[in-house]
Formats: sequence, structure tokens, C-alpha cells
Amino acid sequence: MKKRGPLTESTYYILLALQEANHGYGMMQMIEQITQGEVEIGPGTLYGALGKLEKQGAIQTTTCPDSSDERRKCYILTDEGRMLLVDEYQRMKRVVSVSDQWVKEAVK
Amino acid sequence: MSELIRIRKVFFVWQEHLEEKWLTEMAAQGLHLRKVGFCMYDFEKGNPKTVTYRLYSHVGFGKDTKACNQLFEDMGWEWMGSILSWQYFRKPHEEGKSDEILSDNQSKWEALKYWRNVSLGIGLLNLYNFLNISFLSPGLASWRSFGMDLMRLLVLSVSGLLLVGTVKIQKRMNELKDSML
Repeated sequence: MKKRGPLTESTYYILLALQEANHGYGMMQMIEQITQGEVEIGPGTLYGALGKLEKQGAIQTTTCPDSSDERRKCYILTDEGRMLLVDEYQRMKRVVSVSDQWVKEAVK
Repeated sequence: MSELIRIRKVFFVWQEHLEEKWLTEMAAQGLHLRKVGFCMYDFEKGNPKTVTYRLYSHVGFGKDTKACNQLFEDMGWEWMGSILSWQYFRKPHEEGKSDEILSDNQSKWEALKYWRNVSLGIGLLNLYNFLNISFLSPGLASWRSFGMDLMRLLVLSVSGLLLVGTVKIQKRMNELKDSML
């Protein structure tokens, strides 16, 4: 998988929501819940991103944990996807830690 | 059975935002979309409502329209039909809830890029056809008849229209790019 620049916020949250098998709607609910409604991903953006991530091998389709979800498509992270998530997490952490002492004045 | 009204109208693929606005305005006047077809819209007469319409193309998403439409349905969007690869969705407007199906600039830009490429590709193909039947192919170029001239005019117009459309979409892409920090 090609290493690209920083992930978009939507892509990052989608990867975060796919550490366990989940379908599109489940991802949205999870993302809204963990960000307390601050991040809302539109269904079009979500589906576009899922298609791209699958093509790049970061996620794969899997059977849904709940059999009532048979009309929905479920996905889960691949090892490469997990690496992508961890890399981005660490990159953001570095960004925050580097800026920490410099941004204080602005935050006041 | 309530009253049905059929409206015939041309829709240019690069004007999806105008199409969405038009349908939303119709709903505000109490005309609710029942069915879409090629240049044809069936509306049902009812009470005015605040409804959001959105058009979506399955860009880069393979052929699994069923799973995609299921997701839209889960999110409260009702599938109304399709014209070419535009899928028509609608949802009652809810205060404080997002009405966007494309929630970030990246995905908006990619959707525009898809239609720009379609528009440019078919536009150039028609331009090539026009040049072929008017100048390049000796057999066809020397064929003079009213029907053939009409054909030339038609092919040239389609090409011109699509290339203008391409420029318009490109302009929207550039504006979007400029707004990204």
C-alpha cells in the first residue's frame, strides 16, 4: 500500500470504527457517539471512503456479527489498515506534542 | 389517490445542485416527487413540506448499489429513483441534523471529478465524431444532404454543451480546492 500524506478526518474515524466488524450504519453511530456528535459523516462520503479503503487493502468485507444485518455489507480492518491507523495516530500525537509548548499563548 | 402531476424537464448532469434546489422548492409548494425518469418527473400534490433532496453517484464504489442504498436508508434517506448514474434521495429536514450526504471537501471534490471526466470524455468523443463526419473522413465529409447536415449540427451541439459543462465543473472544483486550507 502506498504511503500517502495525513488521512482525512473521515478516513481516520472509519478506520477507528472498523477494529471490529461493522457495517456502514454501525460505523456512523459509533463515530457520532465517540465524538459526542461533533463528527457526522455523510453516507456518500462514507461509501466513497469504504470503496477506496477496500481497493487499497486497508479493509476487507466480512460476515456481519448480527445475522439480521444480511442486507448490509460489513467490513473489518486488515493488518495494513491497522498499521495505517496506528501510523496516523502516532503522527497526530507527534503534531500535538511538538506544538504543545508553542501553542499555549494562542489558546489562552 | 392523490393527484399526480407530470413535468418534463431537461437536466444537465453537472447541475445536480440546481436539481436538488428545484426539487426542494417543489416540495415547499406541496409537490412531492414520486418517480423520476429520463427528462420526466412525477409529483404528488400534498401539503408543503421542508424536505431535502440529494443526488448521489456511486463514485469509485463498484457495483454494489444495494448495500449503498441500504446505508442511505439507514441514515433516513428515501431512494426515489435514478437518472443515468445519479441516484435521487430525499429526507425530511430535521433541525440541528446535517442534510449533507458528502460531509467533507475531499469527497465533494471526487464526486465533481467523476462528472468532469464523464463530461469531458463524451464531449471529446462527440467532437471527434463531428470532425470525422465533416472533414476527416473523405466519404462522409463529401456527403451533402439535409439529414447529414442536421446530424453534424446535432453532434457539434452535444459536444459544445458537454465541453461547456466540463469547464463549469472544473470551475467548481477549483473553487473548492481554493477553499481548502
